[in-house]
Amino acid sequence: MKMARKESNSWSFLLIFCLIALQSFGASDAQKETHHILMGVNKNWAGLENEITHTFLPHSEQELIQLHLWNVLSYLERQPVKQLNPKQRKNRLKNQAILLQYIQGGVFPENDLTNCRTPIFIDSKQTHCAVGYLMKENGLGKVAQEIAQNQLLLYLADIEHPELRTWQKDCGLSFFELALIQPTYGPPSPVCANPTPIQWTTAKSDDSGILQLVASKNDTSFYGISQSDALGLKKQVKQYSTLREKWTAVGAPILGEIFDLVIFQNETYLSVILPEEDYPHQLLKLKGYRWEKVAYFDGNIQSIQEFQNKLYILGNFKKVNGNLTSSLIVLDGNSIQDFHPEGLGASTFDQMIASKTAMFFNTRGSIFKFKNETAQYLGQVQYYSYLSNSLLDAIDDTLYIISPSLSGYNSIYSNQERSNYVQNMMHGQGAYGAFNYSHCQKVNGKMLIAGDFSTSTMANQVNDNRYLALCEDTNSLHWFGEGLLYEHKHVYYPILKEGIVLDFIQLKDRLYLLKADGSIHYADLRYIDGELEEFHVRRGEI
Amino acid sequence: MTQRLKYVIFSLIILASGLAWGQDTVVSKLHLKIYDEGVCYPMVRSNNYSETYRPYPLTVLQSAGYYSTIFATVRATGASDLNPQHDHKTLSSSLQFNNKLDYVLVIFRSKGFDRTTPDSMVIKISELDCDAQLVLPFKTGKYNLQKMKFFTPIKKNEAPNFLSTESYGIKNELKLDSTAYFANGKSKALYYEVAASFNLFFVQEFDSIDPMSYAQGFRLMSNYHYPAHDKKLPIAVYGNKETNKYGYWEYFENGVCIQHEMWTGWLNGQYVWYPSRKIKWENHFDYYSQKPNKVYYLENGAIKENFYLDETSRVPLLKIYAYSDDGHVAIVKTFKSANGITKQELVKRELFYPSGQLKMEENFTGNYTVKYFNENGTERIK
Repeated sequence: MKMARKESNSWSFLLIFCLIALQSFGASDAQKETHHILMGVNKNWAGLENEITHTFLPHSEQELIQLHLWNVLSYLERQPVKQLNPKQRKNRLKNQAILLQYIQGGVFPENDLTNCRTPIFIDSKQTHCAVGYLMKENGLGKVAQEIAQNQLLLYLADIEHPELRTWQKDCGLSFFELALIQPTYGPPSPVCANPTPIQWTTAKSDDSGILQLVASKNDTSFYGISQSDALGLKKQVKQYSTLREKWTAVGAPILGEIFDLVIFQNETYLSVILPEEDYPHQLLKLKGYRWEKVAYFDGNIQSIQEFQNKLYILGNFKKVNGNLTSSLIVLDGNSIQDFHPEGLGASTFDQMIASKTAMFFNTRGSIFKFKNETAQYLGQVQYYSYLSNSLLDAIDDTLYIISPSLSGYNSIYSNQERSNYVQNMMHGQGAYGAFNYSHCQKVNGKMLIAGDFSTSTMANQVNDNRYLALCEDTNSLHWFGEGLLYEHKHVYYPILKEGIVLDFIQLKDRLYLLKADGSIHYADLRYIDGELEEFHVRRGEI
Repeated sequence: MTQRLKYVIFSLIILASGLAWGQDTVVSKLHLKIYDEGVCYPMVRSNNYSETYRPYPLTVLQSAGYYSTIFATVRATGASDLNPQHDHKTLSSSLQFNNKLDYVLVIFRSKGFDRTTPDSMVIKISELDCDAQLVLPFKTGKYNLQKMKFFTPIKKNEAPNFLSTESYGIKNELKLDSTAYFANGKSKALYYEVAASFNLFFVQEFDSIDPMSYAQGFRLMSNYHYPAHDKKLPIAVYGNKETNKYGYWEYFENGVCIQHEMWTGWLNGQYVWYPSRKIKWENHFDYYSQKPNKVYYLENGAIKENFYLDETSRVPLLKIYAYSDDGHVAIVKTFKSANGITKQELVKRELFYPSGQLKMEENFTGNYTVKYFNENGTERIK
């Protein structure tokens, strides 16, 4: 028993010795590392290595400031308050609670003024620094503004304002503690990025300038609608042979606007507006060299779609060929009829699109599907009235709605709607910085978005203090580009270095794109997929 | 006696009036194009200029751009509205002078941040009886306007006709700081130091194949030299691409200027010419009011496209004109567009008869409407 007690005592001594030794030897590696980081944020951490309690590794300027402030708060909470009077103690507790709220909010000033870390009392977006925020919450917002006006970048010890000292004496925090709170803010940190490495081959352009691309029914050619003269009225349908790399005119020039081209039952149809005609809105069919009138309309043609051997024409018109009252007709052989199957619960529609298995109609966000000779209401697109410039695509029984307002797209199938967000859209190149989409389409099951935007693989963060920097290291983990985004494993990758993309088409395994400058380029989809997969693996968890 | 005095006074009044009528007051415009060390500096109306408050000397012009090193003041012998204006199309600015007054125009230039003792160029202006243009390579000293080397009288209200920089024997005199090269060994960019204490550089950027195709202008390259550690920071992918341009940027093809732009942290003026020197398009953007104004011309002078802000709806619109072979407007389409390039939403479409009368008008905003018109202007019911 005595022996056991002796053994127990020796264990106690050993334990106490270890505790003392640990205390004496000082901070852990994690504390040392964090202390080193925090010394960069505030030099008042000198000698306080052992006071570090939070040791996570910050990945952003925001997390760095939070790391600093969490440690400051825990330091404040552990300091003796015997020397404070009751009012000061109460104020101290209140200020600790304000600081906690500030840390959790995570919105801190941004340093867009200097090339090195500096205190910023209130930044250009009216974001207060931690001390400024404490003052504001204590009713000294005006004093904080006055300090920011004349002593914006000064350390607390250098700031001169009579009310600062008065408040400090009352707030329950010592001057050293306030100085410890005040962070410095780093300049934007560069994140290494490379232009997308996807290589595009330039196809032969048409001298007159292609305005729009249209897929053909074979794998070796596509159509282009070109501006035939500088005056702007004359248009020409042209066909590009990928084998001969040559443009050939199709039919006579059109004196007007061409909206769409459809190959239907081996014949070429155009929807047009011809200003010289009595009824300018027309559907034309190519016969030899000439374009023949198939139908004329008293209003605008919105869409022509081929679906299961019939041609559907949707528009704002009310009459067709002067006698048929309709705004949605079907062309079957030589007969033109009003199209209004049972279940299509509206008479006017904004958009129409056909997949191989179904036709979809959109009227102010209400979606109808036509399949097996029956129309069915699928539902209302969420927040449709807030969507600007929405585009449609359809694959089998799924409809895709794409809009810059969604920063991505929604898919609608079997009465369900699912959102897919593109989080790495940066900005457009226009005067207003807004990005817009010109064409979107599912290609091999992945969404391809074209338009006017700059983008990168770096997703924006709250209080982001990073910037993409052009890097000579070709192994960087970010790509940047313009005009074309391609979905790959739920991430959107820029696959074009620069340019505004007006249109694209898929031709078997090739992707052809039309830039705003009229140039046409192509790349192999298997090559793009391979590059994306390799990059995706390299990026790992990012 | 009183009657005689009345006659004398009356005669004097008549005589004085006659003298005054014989010497009409002429207000003449002087167009100025200012160079320093061989580089053209755009001058804009000074923020300190006031039409109503005139404590001479009056600051009238200042160099446009982030780093304003040049400014101009005027002292006059009487009240005078100097009406300082800029014309980015000709890279010049203008002041107006009254021939009955004497003026002293002083151009001040400072180097670096020390602006306490700027160099000055003093120009006396008196009896300027006609409009004139003046190319002004900065050189300290005192001058008389009419005796200056590049002073040229022009017709009243005529646009100035400045020749190319080389025609005046003006050459880039800035110190070359460094050169960047293409992989093929050709020069990619030349960086000229503007002031030792500031990261503003005059840059010439060359085509990789044709060295006669190049662009030149100022770039504020805050990352070019990193003051704290004397090392370069990585260039931002998007941030530094265009928005660090300042002043005039000129673009040359085969040595001929085909485009120039005016930058003050953002693009606020742009002119592009056809090889025939006819204007191809001009683009103005007022950053503060967010008002774009871009007009694209055909070589025959007709408007092809116009990108502008609709004042009522505050929506930027792109109007596109299509002309028939005989030159009459056949179709005008109006789109919503954020950039003047991509067409986001058709707002309106108008068709015209060859006579110019409206034939059809479609409105796409809200519920679609279409109206047809006869050539006499009456509505045609379809």
